[in-house]
Amino acid sequence: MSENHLIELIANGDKLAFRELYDLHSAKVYNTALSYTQDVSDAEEITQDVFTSIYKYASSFKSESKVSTWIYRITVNTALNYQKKKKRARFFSLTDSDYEKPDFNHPGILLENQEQNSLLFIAINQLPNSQKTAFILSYIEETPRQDVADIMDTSLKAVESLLHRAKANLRKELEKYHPNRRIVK
Amino acid sequence: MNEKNKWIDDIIDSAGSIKREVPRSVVFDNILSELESEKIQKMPVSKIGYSIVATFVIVSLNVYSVFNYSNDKTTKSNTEVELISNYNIYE
Repeated sequence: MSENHLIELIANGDKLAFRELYDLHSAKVYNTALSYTQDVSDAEEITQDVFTSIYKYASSFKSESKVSTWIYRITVNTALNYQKKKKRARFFSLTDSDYEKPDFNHPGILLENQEQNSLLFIAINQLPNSQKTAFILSYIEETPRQDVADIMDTSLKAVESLLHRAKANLRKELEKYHPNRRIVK
Repeated sequence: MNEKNKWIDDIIDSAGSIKREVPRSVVFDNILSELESEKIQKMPVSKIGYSIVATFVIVSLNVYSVFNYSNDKTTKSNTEVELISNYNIYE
């Protein structure tokens, strides 16, 4: 059954079709959310929100774009809005503005790579949203560049440029964590 | 310097080594219960069409009765004026 047909069925309230679409895309949605939030329970909440939106707005899906592009777009928007909302809530609830997230250990990372990856996520967190999205989709989710451009509603050239800047910024940020950074030669 | 660049490259390249995780099964159950609690009901297009027609009919009938009522009122008050003028029998 094609994904477009699944969406049509979901638009008519078919829960079995909804389950099938969930099985096909939940890992993608969850892992993308995990890269943004770096928190398992936040990623689960975003996954919930994304699929609730898919169910609600299935009838407004235009088959000009791929179903996966549409789902990724909802995921990116939901994750960014969720982070904005959380930042705002943190601003009002904490008097201590130096709130820092504990180091994140991605559940999909082997133990020996955990230190490297937690540094990577610290650096990703410092990127502007557009660079962060381009990097997460291209390098962590390994989405083809043209699909990234479609998801971000921009050109292929713009994605390449975002990735170039993202990598440069990551390098700059990671330099601060290099073990020998204080050694003057 | 090369060692530092290699160290940074290794960290950036480690992005591709992250294994894809699956959300806990409770997530789907939560989605279903959220949908139930929101009572999201899909209304078929035909039903939406019927609702629009019904709304149009109701609004038209209301407009028609309001106009009829005000016309009746005007006729009635004209008659009243005439009657009142007829009371002036001593003029």
